[in-house]
Amino acid sequence: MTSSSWSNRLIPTLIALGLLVAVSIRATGTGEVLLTFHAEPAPALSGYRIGLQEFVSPTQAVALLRFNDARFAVSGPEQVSLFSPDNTPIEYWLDPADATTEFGSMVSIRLAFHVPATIPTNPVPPYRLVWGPDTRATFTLRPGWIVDPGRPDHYRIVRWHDPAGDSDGQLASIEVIADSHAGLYSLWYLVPMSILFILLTIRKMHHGDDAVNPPA
Amino acid sequence: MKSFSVMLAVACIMMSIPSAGHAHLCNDVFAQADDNLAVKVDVRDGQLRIGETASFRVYLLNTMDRDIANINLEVRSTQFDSSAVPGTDWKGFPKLRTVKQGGKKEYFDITLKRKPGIPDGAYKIDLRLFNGGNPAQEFKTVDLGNACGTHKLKPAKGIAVDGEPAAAEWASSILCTDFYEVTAAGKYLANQRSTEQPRFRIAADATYLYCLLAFEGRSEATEDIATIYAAPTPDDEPRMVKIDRVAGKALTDEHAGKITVKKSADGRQLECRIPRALLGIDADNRFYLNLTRTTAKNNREYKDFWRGNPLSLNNPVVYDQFVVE
Repeated sequence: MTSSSWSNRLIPTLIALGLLVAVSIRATGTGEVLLTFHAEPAPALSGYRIGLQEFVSPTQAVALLRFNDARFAVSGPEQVSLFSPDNTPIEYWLDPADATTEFGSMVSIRLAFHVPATIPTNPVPPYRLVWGPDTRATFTLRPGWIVDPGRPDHYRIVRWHDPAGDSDGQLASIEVIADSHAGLYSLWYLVPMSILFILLTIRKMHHGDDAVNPPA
Repeated sequence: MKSFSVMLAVACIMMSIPSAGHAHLCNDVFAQADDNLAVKVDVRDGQLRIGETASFRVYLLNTMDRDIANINLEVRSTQFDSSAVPGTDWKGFPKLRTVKQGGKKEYFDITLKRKPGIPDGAYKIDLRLFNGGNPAQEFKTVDLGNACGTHKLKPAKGIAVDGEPAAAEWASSILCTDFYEVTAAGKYLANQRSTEQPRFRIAADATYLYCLLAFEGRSEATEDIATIYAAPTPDDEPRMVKIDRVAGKALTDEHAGKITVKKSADGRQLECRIPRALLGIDADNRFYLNLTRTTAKNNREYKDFWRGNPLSLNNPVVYDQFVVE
């Protein structure tokens, strides 16, 4: 095989491997979290673009969510859906400039949506955020959307928790390998030392005193 | 007779105060345990290999606003006999003093002995922290699962520190996110997940530690600093390196020229290469790391912690263990 044919095969293989690795780290998964709603003082709004805002209804509040769960990675906002307690999709709005991407995937998103002004902290059943390639979202792009820090009572800061992560943390499990030969592993260095010793002994036996007193 | 009644009432009140105080103390302690009782299980690689007997340590660090009056640890296993013995220099055991009042990291020495007839194989043991004065009362909110965690790193290959991070280069990295702020929550300080999250990736080979530092939000900050804390063991003093996103370089003079930092085109990410020797973590393939983000904006400082809090930041017992395979 010539060197050119080697390179002809090697380069595409390396490219394919690179793409495989890239896809594996960019892989977008699916997930779901439950939302909680919090009335907070105005400083909680300091990360937002601010301005005067007209509110369409006194019975509604604006829920603000920066979603950046460690597992979250999607190709775009069309893969993020919100559901109300009665499982109805909720329309949300976002500014694409607020999103954070990593290796081409969207890993953080800031969005807003309307909720009743009287919404409790932990609605039961809960609001849900779902993401993944099979999700079909309802959203509006609103570049430069603002919040009004002069009216903090019209906002709810949204946090989330993983429904699968509410486990009891009272116990820690450690894997213990019971191995009758475990005590011998620490003596591994004896093997190369023995081989070296044997080789030196053989060399000594073959060469005799020549090794010590080489011929003039 | 009247004075006797008054004295009796006073005596009853005085007798009831210690028990009331004790109950109150327990409630407060358990409420704070989630964020202020650090637990680290020092098992290499997160796995323990045992012939007939083996031992390891479980470290504890209390950063609450008060001491824990009574804390104890037990091992649950059907395959092994066990003992949990407090460290020889743990003065005042079973009290775990808070670092706010001069307390320090303490530990239990755990010894396991295989029961007769147990064949070779993999088994699980469970650790349980509880109130020694009332064994039914457990520190349920302490995430002991995290305490055993070890991040295994495949040796980094092909990371070009050029400010153009590629997925393939960082495929072997560990993502460190879910930072939190320490804020007042009712009577106590508690951890609250940071709204704007750093996404710091860690990779390593035998010589270098590689960091991909992605900063979210606070774009108008005058300083936006990632601090990397490193120690070879939980007992060592950590060393630290500070790298500023705004300046795009390591901050301390002593590190000038030794740390390579390149900023991405959008200014939100830094690729860094730090000699492990500089952090004192080059002698072994195992080391401990912690990370913070400190931002100066509008004359205010924000601090986000990956592990620990202001009281435990310099104690590697709260750091995560990394093992380069």
